[in-house]
Amino acid sequence: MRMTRKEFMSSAAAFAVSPMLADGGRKIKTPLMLDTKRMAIHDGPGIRTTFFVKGCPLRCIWCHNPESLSSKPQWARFQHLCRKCAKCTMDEATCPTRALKLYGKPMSMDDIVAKALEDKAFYDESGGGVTLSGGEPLLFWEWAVELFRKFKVAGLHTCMDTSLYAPPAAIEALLPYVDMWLPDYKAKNDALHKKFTKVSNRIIKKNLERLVAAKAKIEVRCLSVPNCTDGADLAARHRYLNSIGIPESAIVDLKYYDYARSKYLALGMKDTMP
Amino acid sequence: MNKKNKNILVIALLAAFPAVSFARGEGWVPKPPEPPPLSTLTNEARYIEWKWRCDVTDRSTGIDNATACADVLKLAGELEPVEPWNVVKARCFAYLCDNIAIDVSPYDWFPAFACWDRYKRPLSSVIWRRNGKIGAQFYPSIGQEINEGNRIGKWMVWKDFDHIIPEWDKVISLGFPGMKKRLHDNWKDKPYYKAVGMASDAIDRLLDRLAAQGEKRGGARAVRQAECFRRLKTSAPQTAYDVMQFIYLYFVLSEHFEAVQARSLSIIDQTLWPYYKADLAAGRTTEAEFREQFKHFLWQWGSIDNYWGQPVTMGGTKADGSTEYNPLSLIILDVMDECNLPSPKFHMKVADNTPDAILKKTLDMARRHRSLSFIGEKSCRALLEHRGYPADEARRFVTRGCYEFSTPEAGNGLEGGHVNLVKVVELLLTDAKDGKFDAPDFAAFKKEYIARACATAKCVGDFFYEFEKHLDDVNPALVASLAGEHSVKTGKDAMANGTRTGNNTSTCLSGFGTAMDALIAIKEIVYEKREMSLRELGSLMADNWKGRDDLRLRMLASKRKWGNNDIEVNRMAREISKSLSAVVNSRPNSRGGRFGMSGHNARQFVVQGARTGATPDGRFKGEEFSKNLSPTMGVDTEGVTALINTLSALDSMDFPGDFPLDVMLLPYTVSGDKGLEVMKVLINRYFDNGGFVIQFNVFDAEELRDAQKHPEKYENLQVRVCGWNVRWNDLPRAEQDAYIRRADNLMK
Ligand code: SF4
Repeated sequence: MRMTRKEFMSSAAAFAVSPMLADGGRKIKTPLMLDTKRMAIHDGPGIRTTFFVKGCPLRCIWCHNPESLSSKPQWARFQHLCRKCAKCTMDEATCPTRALKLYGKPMSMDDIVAKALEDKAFYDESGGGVTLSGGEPLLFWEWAVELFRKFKVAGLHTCMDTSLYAPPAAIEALLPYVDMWLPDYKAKNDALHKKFTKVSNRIIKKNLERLVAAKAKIEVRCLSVPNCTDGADLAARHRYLNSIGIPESAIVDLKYYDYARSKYLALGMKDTMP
Repeated sequence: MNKKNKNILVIALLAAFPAVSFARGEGWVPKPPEPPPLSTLTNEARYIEWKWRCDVTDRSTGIDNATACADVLKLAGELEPVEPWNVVKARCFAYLCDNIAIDVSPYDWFPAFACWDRYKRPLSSVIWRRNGKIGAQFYPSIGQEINEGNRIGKWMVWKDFDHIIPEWDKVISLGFPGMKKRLHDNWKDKPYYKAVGMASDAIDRLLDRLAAQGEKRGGARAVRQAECFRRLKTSAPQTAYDVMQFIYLYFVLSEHFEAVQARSLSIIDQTLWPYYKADLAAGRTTEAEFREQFKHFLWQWGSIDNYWGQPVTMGGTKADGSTEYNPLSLIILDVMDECNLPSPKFHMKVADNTPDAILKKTLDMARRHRSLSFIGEKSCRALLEHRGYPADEARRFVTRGCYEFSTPEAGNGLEGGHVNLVKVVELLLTDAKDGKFDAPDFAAFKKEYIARACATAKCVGDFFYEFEKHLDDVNPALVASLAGEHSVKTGKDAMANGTRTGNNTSTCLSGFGTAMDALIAIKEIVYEKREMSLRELGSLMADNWKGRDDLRLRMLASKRKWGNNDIEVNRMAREISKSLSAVVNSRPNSRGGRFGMSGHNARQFVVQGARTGATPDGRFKGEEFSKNLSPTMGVDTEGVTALINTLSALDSMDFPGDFPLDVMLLPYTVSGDKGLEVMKVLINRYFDNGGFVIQFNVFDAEELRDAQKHPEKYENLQVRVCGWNVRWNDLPRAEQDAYIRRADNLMK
């Protein structure tokens, strides 16, 4: 959906005054959405639709989705496309070169489920379903529990693409509704983890172990960033994962690409990519 | 103007007469290459590459093409006043068989002819001159109207002589002598029998000439060819090689000698398999030899290089429900893969029984840009049964042309004009601008749109109703008549009403997706947001969006487009297609067949786009439309699943002509084994929704940009255009840009 700034402000405002209520009437944190990717084939089994939330508690220096870090809406202007008009339209739809992009738009849970259901026939035929990604979806875990409950009511296979940097309560609450977990495991060495992601991996490991104990279906993704988390640390990650009962067949090594530099520039953020 | 365009102009001028001229829809052809010196064609690949792009014949055997053109024009002129027209054409055909220069080269498994150039076929001028006379005599009043509509792009109407195919299995089982015997068994003293009989005799004499030339030239392949010609003169084809030679000769005799294109090379794996099996058992051939012969067979059409591609069907279902794919299918696909030619194009029948190995191999080939489409057997059979054909005939359906299909016996369906659905929007807005039309709400606007679109479709049908009364007066199909059992038994020409259950005509829709986008844009601008009146919008379109680039860009970026599975757009599309279907489908034509609506538009999305003004979906004047039933290039931002869901909003039973979908995919989404599974799911979903044909373009935008910058690196890069593949380097820049735009959208 393309929006003018005015349209966005009014819809965001409308959204903000009707936050989701958890059981007991408590307000729960609701994310803005970054994007919806249909026919995603690398986010779990089969053909899937992946929804991306905006907001992440980690600050990985290699992050290839810098637009997902802040949970607030952000404008980006892609310099290589921008014509530097006399007066910028500040409107995604009428920017003549599509250089402008607004990251972070509200999307109701019902709209998310409805969008997911549009491709149900493709999931059914391919063994696919729906994936929640980000950003970090567990930053909004209470909301995610509600959403996944709705996904399950709709008969959808669910995947959670997460850093697992979340309170154990989040994992417990989501366990019944997540068919497959796709956690990242970024570094075994906690000092490296802290250095490159700004958070400790202690809670992540604890959550991983909890998933194993719960016999949850898992596919762990291990990104190997040259001169940061490659070599010895990657090997150590594999050893650790094997030691807690995650077989090699459930570990996927990912290569690092620095394709996101233009996004840092467009968002006016410091490019931290190695 | 390039050489081939010049030739088309010459043909058009020959066709011109005071009231009617027929603008052919094939004005675009890739630039013809300059031929190298013949002395350099000294191996099989070089020789065959050029044999259909220049004259490689032995001049001592006969006349060249220019002489043949002049001679038959003169001959026809002399005979026309004194002989029935089919006999006149037969005498010209016989003249060519007896006199055109030929060769039987030791480099090749198939012979060469001096009448190699499709754009200068000797009989073309004869036929278009006759066409002028018939038009002036029988339908002078509609000529002006047709020409004007063609000129402004309201429709594109011309006589189609390019879609007739024989019932391959039957004619192969008879061969040339069997067909001749059948003709004589049914002989009556009528011009039809005289004409077809003369053609049959002439073919015999040509076979003799070819055999003699092969014997004269010597060399293993030339001698084997000579033996084959002798066999084909006296019997039905005996070996797999005989069958290939027969199909090749049939095509050349029909297309290059008598100017009637045979747009199918049979269900080739099914056709060749029993012969190949018997050859192997008798020790007559080896797999290696078959591969070489089949490679040469494919290379012929690679050399002919008609931009629309020559279709070959594969597979199918036997009466017992098992697959028709056989061990030879994989060999054929291997050779096709290795050849990597834009033409012939392979139409793969897909059903639940299709072996996984075949499907995987062909999907993998499709993602490597091989010229392949996938045909949904279940939906094609259902359509044919819905049209009243017996289940067993429907089961054996064949494909021809771009994507058309029919039962084997009903292979003389023709294309009956292209209705420009976008022009209807333009003309309505022009009327609004001039104060001649207004609509208080969108429902009223849409109602008028539907009424005018239906009127245009009916009008195009009316033209063809008149045209088709006289098709065989213009271009009787002698070879196809000789091949047609019903034709021979009844004495009815194959071009006219010569099949028992066929004789149908397609009315093609042009710019379907763009028309839907334009209509929904009108709804938004005029009736929802009330940004301007209909009259003001009409003026803005007449000014080609002048001063309102902001609005144009907003409309262009809107997601309310055909292809994004927008419920409102889908509903409107269904309503419009149902209305058109009610006007077009099942209306009787004048050949004893029926009209049927078709979702493909060949190159009219470019030709008519150039002749159509700006439209409210953000399109500038002259820009191309959406092609086939696909979305406008670059506006389907929701991805391929949404695209397939969109198409399911239409009822494919409303499109008996065809119901094709073009899908563009990024390489990484279809990489590896999972990619093949994904492609399988996509085709199954489309077929389950009633789709007939699906074809893939697998590219990323960067690769295409690089190909635009460095054409030399991408000589073999092919893209799927309509029902055919085209080399990337042969596409005009604007069309390349459209592909890049669409690939860019996939990246978002
Ligand atoms: S972002 Fe777009 S509208 Fe703004 S100055 Fe750049 S090109 Fe112009």
